[in-house]
Amino acid sequence: MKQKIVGIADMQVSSEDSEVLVTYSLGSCIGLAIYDPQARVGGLLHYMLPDSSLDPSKAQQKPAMFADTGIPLLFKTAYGMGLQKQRARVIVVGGAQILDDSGYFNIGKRNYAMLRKILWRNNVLIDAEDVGGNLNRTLYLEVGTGRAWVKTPGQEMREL
Amino acid sequence: MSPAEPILEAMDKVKPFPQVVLKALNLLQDPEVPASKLLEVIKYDPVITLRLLQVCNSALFGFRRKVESLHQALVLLGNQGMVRLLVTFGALELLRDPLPGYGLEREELWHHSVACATLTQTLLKEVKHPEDTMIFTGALLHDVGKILLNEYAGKKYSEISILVAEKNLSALEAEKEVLGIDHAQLGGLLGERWNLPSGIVAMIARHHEPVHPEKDPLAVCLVHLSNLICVQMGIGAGARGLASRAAPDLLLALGWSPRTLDACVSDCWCEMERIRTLIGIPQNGRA
Repeated sequence: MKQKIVGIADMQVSSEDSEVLVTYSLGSCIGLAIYDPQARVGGLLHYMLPDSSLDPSKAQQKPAMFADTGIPLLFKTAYGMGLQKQRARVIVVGGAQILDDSGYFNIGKRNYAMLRKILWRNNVLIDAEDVGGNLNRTLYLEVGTGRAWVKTPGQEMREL
Repeated sequence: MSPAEPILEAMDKVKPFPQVVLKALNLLQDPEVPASKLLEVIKYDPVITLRLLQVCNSALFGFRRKVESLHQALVLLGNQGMVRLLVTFGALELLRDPLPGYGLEREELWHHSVACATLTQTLLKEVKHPEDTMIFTGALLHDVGKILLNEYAGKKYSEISILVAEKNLSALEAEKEVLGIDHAQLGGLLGERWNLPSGIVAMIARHHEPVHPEKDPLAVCLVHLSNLICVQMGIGAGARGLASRAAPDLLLALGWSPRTLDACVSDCWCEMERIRTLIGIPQNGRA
């Protein structure tokens, strides 16, 4: 198996059976994996922030940084490789946050809320998720099979 | 016997702090220090000199002419810039080993530290202050206590993790409860032993405290904040880094909105991308 790493503010789409897409260190960021079992096309996005209106020029250079530019790009790229929305399995991981009673450090929650909004608007349902809490997560997507795993520190890998 | 006693005794085994870096930092306490004095200190360390020249000639700086001497480098970078490079690479030796007790791989703590140090300079801009090499250095060294506590945190890994997961303790509180001392306190002690400037010792020792800009030095507040932002972004969070407690009302007191925080996150990422090649961070952001 060949690992293809998705960095922070990065995205990969693949139809290579031998590849595993992986993204490390999801804190408040969100890892969104999509997979079409018929087309055997998988995509993985690792975005950092909810809203591209923060900095449109950055969003243009690096659309995978934001939910509202990264998510459409992930789907569009995967459509181009044969993925169909109604067949796609959707997996969401991350959106953690630090211990903060004042609620200021809620990037994780806002990242998740934006994702829900975008997916809802586009009639896409989430099939499996592991979000919130104060855990650092790694997400794997096997392109040949569509199987996905999440790994947290000190724990075994868990299939989603 | 307190569980912390053997840990305090083990402080003797920790690597010494690089003397060139310490001397340069002390010189820089005087903002008017002549460049020639800095040169005098650095030039006798051939390893550091070579490294500095390599970095100056890397694509990061994009200088048009080849930088061939320390003197030339100092002219191009200025005193502050030179010392920042010096501490960044001086700290590499201290911070590069893997720390399994904290779930950190090789060089991951260094990457986290460089990200925090870089971010403090972005945060300073946000509060309309000039760049500050002492704050940069304090942020770079804030987790230095982990290099000593790693062994003990490793032995009690599950005990500490269970306290965090089940008792809603922060990683620091759990560490203190189990080991009798936490990495911030221990780092402060190490800093004192190394004779680091007192401002830097305070940034190390207090980086997890519930600091407030009306009561505490800005430096301590910014190091606290930059650490939180970096772990939240997943840069060197390790096993329990996200279980860090934010100082209540710190952002409110600074007059920041969540959007200000978002902008800092985004700027920090861009700056890290820029220096990623310099310090050799792989694209995944993990060592």
